[in-house]
Amino acid sequence: MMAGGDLESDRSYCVLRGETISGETIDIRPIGLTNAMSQRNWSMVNATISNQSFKLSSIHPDNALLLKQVGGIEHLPQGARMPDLLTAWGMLYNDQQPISSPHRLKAIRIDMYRWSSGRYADYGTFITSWRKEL
Amino acid sequence: MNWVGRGSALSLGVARSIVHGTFLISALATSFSALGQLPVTILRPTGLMKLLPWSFYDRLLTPSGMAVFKTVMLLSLLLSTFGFLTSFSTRLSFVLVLFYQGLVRSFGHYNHDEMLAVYYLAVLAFTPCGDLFSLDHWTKRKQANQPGFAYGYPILLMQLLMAWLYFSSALVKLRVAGLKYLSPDNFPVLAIYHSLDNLHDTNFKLAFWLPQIRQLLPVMVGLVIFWELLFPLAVFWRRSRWWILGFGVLFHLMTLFFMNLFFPYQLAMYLIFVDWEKVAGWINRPPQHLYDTQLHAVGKGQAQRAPAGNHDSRVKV
Repeated sequence: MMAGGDLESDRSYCVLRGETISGETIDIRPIGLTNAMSQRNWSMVNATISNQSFKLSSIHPDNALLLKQVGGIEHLPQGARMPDLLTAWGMLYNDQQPISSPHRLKAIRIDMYRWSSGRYADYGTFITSWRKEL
Repeated sequence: MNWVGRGSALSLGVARSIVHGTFLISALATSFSALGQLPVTILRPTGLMKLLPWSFYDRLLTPSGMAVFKTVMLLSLLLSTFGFLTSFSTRLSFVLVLFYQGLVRSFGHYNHDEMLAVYYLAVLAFTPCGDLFSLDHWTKRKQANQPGFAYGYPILLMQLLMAWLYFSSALVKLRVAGLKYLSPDNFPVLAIYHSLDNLHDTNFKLAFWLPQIRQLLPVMVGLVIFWELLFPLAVFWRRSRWWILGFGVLFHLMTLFFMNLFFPYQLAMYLIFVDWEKVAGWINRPPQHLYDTQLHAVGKGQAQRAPAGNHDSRVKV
């Protein structure tokens, strides 16, 4: 923020979406799920995508185990813990819906897009998605 | 030293209620149990929080663990807001809020909105902020018997902290980006970037209109930097204070509508600049009709209004 914006640089961003039991795809705003993370939900997602919690001097034992299983951080896929975050958000969303509601989610996903550089257009080039069945 | 002497036990007590009350209201409206459902495996403990073992976070970051934490924090903030056992409760609230702020930062990023208010908690924890405007005072546990300096310097310190925050923000922008910060694309690019996702708290789309007026934006950004550099005047020159704070309110509303970034804590802390002694004077002034009756009763031609701002002797006989 202090360095200011630069039109030449690529920027990526994410959209949280849910797939309902009735077959709809809906946008979900995480502030309605984890309001303690007010003004920070976006940076939490960015840190999860770049596996920041695996780059600490002392990492969580479960993360250490995962690193051992995949053979080191260089083999770790992007967003290795994203399914855990999506599960938490999916459960919180479903807890807010009545049991019989058609708006309950059967899956939740994060879609990642890129705003290509150079001009004020083409904001939504799709890059990748993380999806979790609930 | 005159600036320090302007504070009072009442102003410091009200400041305590505002700062602690802001965190109290925020905590009341926050779901801690939802926070406890986030996976601990994405946590990145920051600063001193790295010293705590993972087993501690495994226990804390559960819906029940966070519910207990919320209960303790609410109780402490309730006591400190209303000024009961003030010396103890302000310090406990400071420690608990500091830890909580560290926890949410360990999931996200170093958001600076709440930091000024956290510094204020630190200032209040070690000053006699419960001597007036507190349950401790009303139950005669505490009296305002310190010299004026003891109540004045914490207020001055809090105002200086805010002034430094804005002033240094301008310096950092100029140091990191230099005159590039005044580029016509700086503001629209940042604003659009923060308006593309649905992960921000709000989803205003005014940012997409900014490229149409990009040639005007260097002037607006320059004006903001100029305002940040001038902010210390709000502490030392009272006549400029409300202009500077008023611009601040406008600025933070702009960041909300154009960038989906808001600073509610920081705005709440503007109340530190209010002269609460004067406000108390206004509140205690009798209603106008009683005032007129009083004037009439004193006698024609014998009563005259006291000079404006002198609330202790409104009627001279």
